[in-house]
Amino acid sequence: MRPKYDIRNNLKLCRLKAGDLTQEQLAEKVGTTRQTILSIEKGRYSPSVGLALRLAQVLGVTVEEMFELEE
Amino acid sequence: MLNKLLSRLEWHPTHATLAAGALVILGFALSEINWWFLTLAALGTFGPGILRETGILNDQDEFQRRADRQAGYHAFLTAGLFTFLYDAYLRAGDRNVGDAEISVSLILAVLWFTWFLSSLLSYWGPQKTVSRVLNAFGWVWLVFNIVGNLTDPIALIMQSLLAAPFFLLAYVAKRWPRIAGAVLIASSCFFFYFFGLYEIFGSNPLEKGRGMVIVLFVGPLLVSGIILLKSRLEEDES
Repeated sequence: MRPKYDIRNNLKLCRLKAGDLTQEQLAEKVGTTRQTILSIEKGRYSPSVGLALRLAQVLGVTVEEMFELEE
Repeated sequence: MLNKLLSRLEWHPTHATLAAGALVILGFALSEINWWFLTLAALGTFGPGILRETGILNDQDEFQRRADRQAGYHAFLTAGLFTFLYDAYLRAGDRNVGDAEISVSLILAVLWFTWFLSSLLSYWGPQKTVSRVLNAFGWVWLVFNIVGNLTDPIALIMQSLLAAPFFLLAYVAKRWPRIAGAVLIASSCFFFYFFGLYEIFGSNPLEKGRGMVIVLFVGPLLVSGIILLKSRLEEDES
C-alpha cells in the first residue's frame, strides 16, 4: 500500500546552516556517497532511520528539523 | 581523471562495479573470438550482486543497495512477463523464430536493459537520465557514421545531421520534459513503422534482428517518452 503522506526534507538548508558543508563533505562525515545526499535532498530517496539519525548528529539538528511529514 | 569524469556524471560506482563493467565489455569483445568468453560478461553482470547478497562483498551504501534491488525487481517483472508471453506465443502455434540463441539473447537484452535503465533512473532522475540516453544515442550514431563513411564526405555530412534531432531532444528533455516525452513517443511509433518492425507480428517475427532493434532502440525511446510524460520538473543543484 502506498503511504498517504510525503516526506519533505530540509537537509539542504540544514547542511548550509551547519557551516556551508558541501554534499561531498557531508557524505564523507556520515559515511555515505554524495549521490545519496543528492538523492535525499531532491526527495528521490528517504534515508533509513540510522542514516537520518547520523545526519542529524553530524549537522547538530534533530531528525524532525530535517524531515517533516506532509499529509 | 576517471574520478573527475564519474563525478561530473554524478555517478559514484564502487571498485567492484567498475571491475564488473570492464568484465562485461571484455566478455562481449572477446566473444568475437570464442563464444565461451560470454561467461565473462555474465560474471560481470551477476557476480557483484551474488557476492553482495551472500555477504562477501559489502561495498555499497544504503541508497546504492536500494537502487540495485529496485532495478533487479524491475528487470524480474519485465523479463519475466516478456518470457511468459513469448513462451505462450511459441507454444500456441508453429513459429519460425530462427535459432534458439536469438530468442535467449532477446530475453537477456530485455532483462539487462530494464535493469540498466532502472538503475540510471534511480541515480539521475527522469530528465537527466533521458537526456543522457538521447545524447548517448546521438554520439553512437555519430561515431558509427564517421567510421562507416570516412571515404565519402557527402554521406558523412548528410548522415551526421541525423544525430542532430537526438541532441536537440536531449536539450528539450531537460527544459520541457512533457514536450520531449510526446515527441519521443511519436518518434518511437514512427521508427516502428519506418523500420518495418510491425512485421514482428508476421510469420518470421525475429528476422533481420527486429527484436533487438525494438529492445535496443525503439523500446528505450518509447520508455523514455513515457517517463518524461510522468516526470515532474527537477531543479539542478549541487
